Amino acid sequence: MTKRKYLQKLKKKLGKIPASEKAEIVEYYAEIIDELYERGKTTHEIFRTLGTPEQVVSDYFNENEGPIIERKHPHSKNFYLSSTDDNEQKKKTETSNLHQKNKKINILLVILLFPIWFPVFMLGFALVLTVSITIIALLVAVVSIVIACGFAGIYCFIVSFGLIPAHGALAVIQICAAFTLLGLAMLFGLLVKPLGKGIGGFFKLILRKKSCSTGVTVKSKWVTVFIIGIILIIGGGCTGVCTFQSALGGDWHNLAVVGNFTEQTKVIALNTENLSFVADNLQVEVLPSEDEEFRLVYFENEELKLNYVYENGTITIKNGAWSNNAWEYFRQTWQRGVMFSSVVSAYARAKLYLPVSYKADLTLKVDNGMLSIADFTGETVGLKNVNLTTNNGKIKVNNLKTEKLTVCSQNGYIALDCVNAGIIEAKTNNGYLELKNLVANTVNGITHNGAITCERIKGEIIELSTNNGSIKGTIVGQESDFKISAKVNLGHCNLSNKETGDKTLRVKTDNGAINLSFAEVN
Amino acid sequence: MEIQMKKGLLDVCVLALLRRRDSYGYQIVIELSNVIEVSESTLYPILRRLESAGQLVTYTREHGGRLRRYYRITRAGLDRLDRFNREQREIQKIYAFIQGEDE
Repeated sequence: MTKRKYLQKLKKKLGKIPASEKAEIVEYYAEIIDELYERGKTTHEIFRTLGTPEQVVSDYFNENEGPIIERKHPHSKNFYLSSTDDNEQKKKTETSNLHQKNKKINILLVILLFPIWFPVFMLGFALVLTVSITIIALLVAVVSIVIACGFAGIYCFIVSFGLIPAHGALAVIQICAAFTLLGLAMLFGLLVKPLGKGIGGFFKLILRKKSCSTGVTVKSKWVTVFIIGIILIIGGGCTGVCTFQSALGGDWHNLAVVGNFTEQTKVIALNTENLSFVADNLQVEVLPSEDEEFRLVYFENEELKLNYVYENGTITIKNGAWSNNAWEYFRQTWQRGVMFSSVVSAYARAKLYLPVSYKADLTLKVDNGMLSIADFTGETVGLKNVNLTTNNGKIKVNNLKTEKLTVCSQNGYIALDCVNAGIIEAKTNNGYLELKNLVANTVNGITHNGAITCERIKGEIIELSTNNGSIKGTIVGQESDFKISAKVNLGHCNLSNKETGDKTLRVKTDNGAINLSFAEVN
Repeated sequence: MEIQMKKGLLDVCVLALLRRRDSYGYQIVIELSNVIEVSESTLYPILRRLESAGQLVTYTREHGGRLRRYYRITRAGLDRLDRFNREQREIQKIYAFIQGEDE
């Protein structure tokens, strides 16, 4: 045991006694230890002389029957030698009276100076809170990185062995990636202890108003872990990249050993009036076809067939069983590599070609994937109802003429440009709305968490609403044309409500500014 | 020795030592242990008690690159010693009573 450790332990064992008293005790024992040391005693002898911190503390409390400071009756029986003294008692009561007077003055001062000390106190409190939350956040982030890198590394390492017979080079790359991840986990792991100590030190500093050393002692173990981590990162990274370049030609598509992707083309004989498309994980693009044919083009892997069904005007494409079955998924990963699923998903895209003469409803619905439709314009109104829905993905619409356009995304942004429709409805929960060059009777834009940007929106009824985000841009027309209702909870609004006007403009945001201007466009 | 009695006697012993000259913690333990059994951990509460009763004061002096805390007896401390000495006859009477030597 070192002197510092002994004193720290002593401090801890003393428990809840006033900080000043604790400091006095520690100082006293520090001095005794120094004295013994100067007299040539070994540390072992010193601590044997003093006894364990527990003994010291028990002596302290026994001698006092409670800490000295808390002693309320100085003439209790264990101080019998002075208990007979009346003079002293008198003196004591006098001084205690004086103390009481001082106390009253102090309380008065505290109350009178409240406007000064309270803001200072609150400022200090806020600062302490900020610093401690920052350090804790850092610690949580570092711990998360360590856990994530560690688990990913171990997973990658284990899974790579299944790949060795199928593709040695890929297995090597994966094992290298695993080493790099483990190295990263080790390096970040080194940060955990200093950060933890930093938090401890910070709170000690605040609670005891006394500086204490939080210096991290550099130990050989620390250095070893650091060096191993660096070697793993550099070694793993370099070997991996070199193998990737030489064996796979630097093409990331080769990272998944899943055979060849081939383009599939399905010609659809439309047997109903309307067309729907449903898919789980697919990025769908709708384009005008050059001839009068309905065509669907998508990529398929020869070993992982997609389930394509066309029935009653509905096209359905679902992934094979592997994507929903955990065991099958793991088997595929074991045989084909960790990068396998991401490469497969990079190929998860389809193009739907529609003849320009098609004049009916179009419904697209996917779970995960981006949707886009472009270049359906003509002299007459083309499509009737266009309905685009995705859970996770953005939606893009360019150059479209339709009767009604409804786009809906949960977690993705929506961008509409050059749309001419009777009704335009755009709805997203977590994403922004970008509305450009719209001409419609009714424009309805709703988002919960995102901004709304407009450029040249022309409409009889325009409604824009968001919970957290700003609304800005230009509306076609003159301010006098519009009946305006603008609501802002927190933020600036440049519109003023008015009741007269042929057209309607309703704008609403809870947290954000509204900045809309009116412009005449020919 | 009777523990309650020893407590009181230790107070007086420390004061008596400090009347001769100012001293510091370890030195007090060394010198007193010739007369009465005392350890570092028992001395500390005594010093604190005497200090809070105003019977001794402390000051620091540099020694070998660090500070050493010295204790000096006060007027009140000297008074207490005097009182103790005055009570000597009374105590002897008590001893005589305990040993059954009275009458």
